[in-house]
Amino acid sequence: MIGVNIDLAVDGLFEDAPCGLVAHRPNGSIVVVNRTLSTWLGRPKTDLLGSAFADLLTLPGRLFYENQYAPLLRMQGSVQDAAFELARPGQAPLPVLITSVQQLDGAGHPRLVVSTLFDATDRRRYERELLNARRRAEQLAAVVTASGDAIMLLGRDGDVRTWNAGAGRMFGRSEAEMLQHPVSTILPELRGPKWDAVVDRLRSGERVQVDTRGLRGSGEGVDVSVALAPHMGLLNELDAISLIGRDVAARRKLERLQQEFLAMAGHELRNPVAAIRGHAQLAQRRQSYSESSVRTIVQQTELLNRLIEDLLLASQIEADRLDLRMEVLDLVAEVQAAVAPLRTDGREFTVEVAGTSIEVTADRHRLAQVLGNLLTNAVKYSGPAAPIRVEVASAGAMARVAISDQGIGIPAESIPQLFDRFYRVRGAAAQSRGLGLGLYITRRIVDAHGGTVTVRSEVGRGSTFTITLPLPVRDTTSNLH
Amino acid sequence: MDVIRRNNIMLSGPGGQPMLFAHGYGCDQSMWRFVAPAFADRYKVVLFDHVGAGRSDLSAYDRVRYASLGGYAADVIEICEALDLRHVVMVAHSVSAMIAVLASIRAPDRFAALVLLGPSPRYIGAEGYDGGFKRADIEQLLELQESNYLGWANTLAPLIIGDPEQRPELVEELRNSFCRTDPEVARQFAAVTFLSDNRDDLIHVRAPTLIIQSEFDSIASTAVGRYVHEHIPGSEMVVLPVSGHCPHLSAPQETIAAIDAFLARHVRQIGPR
Repeated sequence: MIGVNIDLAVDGLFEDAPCGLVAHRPNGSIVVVNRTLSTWLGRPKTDLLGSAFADLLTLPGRLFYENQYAPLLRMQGSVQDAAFELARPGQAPLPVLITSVQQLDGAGHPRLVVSTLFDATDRRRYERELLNARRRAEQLAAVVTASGDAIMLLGRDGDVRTWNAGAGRMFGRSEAEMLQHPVSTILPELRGPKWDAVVDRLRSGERVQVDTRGLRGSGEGVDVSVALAPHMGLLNELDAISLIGRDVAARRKLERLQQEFLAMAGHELRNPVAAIRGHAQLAQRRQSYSESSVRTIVQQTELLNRLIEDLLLASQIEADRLDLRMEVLDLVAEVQAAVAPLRTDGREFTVEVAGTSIEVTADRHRLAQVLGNLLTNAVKYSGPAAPIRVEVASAGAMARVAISDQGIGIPAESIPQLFDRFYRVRGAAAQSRGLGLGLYITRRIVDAHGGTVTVRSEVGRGSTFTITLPLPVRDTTSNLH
Repeated sequence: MDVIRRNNIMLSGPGGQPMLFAHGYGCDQSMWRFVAPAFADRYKVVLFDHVGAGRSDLSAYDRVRYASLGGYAADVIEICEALDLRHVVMVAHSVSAMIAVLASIRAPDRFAALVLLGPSPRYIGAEGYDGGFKRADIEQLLELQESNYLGWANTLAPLIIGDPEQRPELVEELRNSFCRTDPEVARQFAAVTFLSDNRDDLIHVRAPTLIIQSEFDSIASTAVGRYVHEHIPGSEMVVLPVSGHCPHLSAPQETIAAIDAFLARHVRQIGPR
């Protein structure tokens, strides 16, 4: 060849190749290294020769090299394009791709390992972005899967393209049933002119909110609030539509209950206020007061106070701020104390106790409230002479109080909601005075004690409310001595 | 459950006293190819792959069971039970050394001796203990490992997207699959390997134990090997004048000699049954 010194060319090819070149012995020590690699590392060749190949890598890289790369190389003779980072004194590590080939001697033992190292800075950045994108997509997918809302992607024509588990629960249909099918299968109102109108608004970039009736696979209806948002394509055309559907039945029910509750609370609070005002005005007019008027005023004030306390307690419970001051109490004594003020002539009020005392750990004030609520209910919902029986016992790890009346009873269909907030048994209004919070508060207080409250009831024959409370844990170790 | 298939168990040798070889993180039973055959004339040689590695049954992988080394130790005991192995000489590399420690504590009657190559009870440094690594190193290792699987898989879009349906077959076909370990499994196995702390378990080992330490091991240093030696009661330690974390690959003859010498002193040979 003309004008080219082959030796120089080969030397240049080796020293200034666009990649690092290095050869090392099986024990790791470097025997040859080119200028490119020496420059990348910022270390003179003399410093590199004799040092260990693995030491060119960052510490995590060495872990990977020793555990995976070196064994693989030893066993299959070559490894291609493994990602590593070169440790560089005073500089950021350099991402590289390393390819190695193992050379064997005549006896088949490793003699030398030759490697190429390519700069992989850009590639590593893309890979990292790809990995991050994948992680974000996985996280997002997890959120969508876990959501209670129906989340789906629709094509322009309203065909379902993705379907999450929430949609499956809300509409009672599987992904396989719904993919490629029109969304009007589950939201019948979203078809024809109405759908066209929705699409027109989406085309202009608007979001659309529709309250509509959905159709479950079983044929039942479900009230849903649907939010639609456009996904625009490269030419700003409507490309796809995201749809989020929320079951509004539960929310509507709560809203209705809250409205009813406010009306009822206003009514209940006004009654004692009216009585107080009446008696006070009477005293004002007469310029004198009667003993009975004052007693009524005091009683009504107490009632008002109780109602307000219930309201505050309910709001505390709602906000999970129910503080209990636990102490060891004798449940039998607490029951007797709660029964005493309710005893009247003409009613048989029995308290049956298994044993003399049963210790529980409870908040004295709250326990009194629970017993008071249940006992007052028993009195309120039964005739003036109907007997009431209270049983106190311990069974296993729990103490139990059962309060049985022979009153009007509770219809079976009302029992599931009995302990809900704002719930009052229909038709019980005549006897009831209160906010419908009593049993709700009772259940939440008992729950907070780690106990349970249950009811058995039959219309016309009476009800039995049973609460259980955990017995204190005995310290068994101290008994061993 | 078919343990033989789950752990891809391979048997060789005439029977008699079993020698169970356990590979370390990042590889599979083929790691033992230069060492195990040397014992096949006298021992019943048992090779296996940890679940998730090599040709083990990937469908048996359970993220909860294998969230700690205890799950792998339970597998080892199940292998012994399935094959009715007794007086087992367990030869374990790297992370499997701690798996062997745990298995021998849980089922002391099964094991006649332990041979631990490059053991480390804890890779991350702690108060008064130099494990050699910081937590950040391990996190970077996980990232590097992911880069590697991604790098090799970059022509295989489904793997990147993570289509679980297609993963096992694809991994099988990868050119450089590092002993065919599944990427997701490798990720968890690496975390379990390098984030575990088994220092307190060492003292409970009752089996005669040999520690084989490579003199220049940047994963499990000689100081770490000595720590293991000092904490396993009555253990012996041999330092081989070689470098790297895999003396069974880089110095198979020396490794075989060390194992032989130890067993001759400590384990009564039990002939073929």
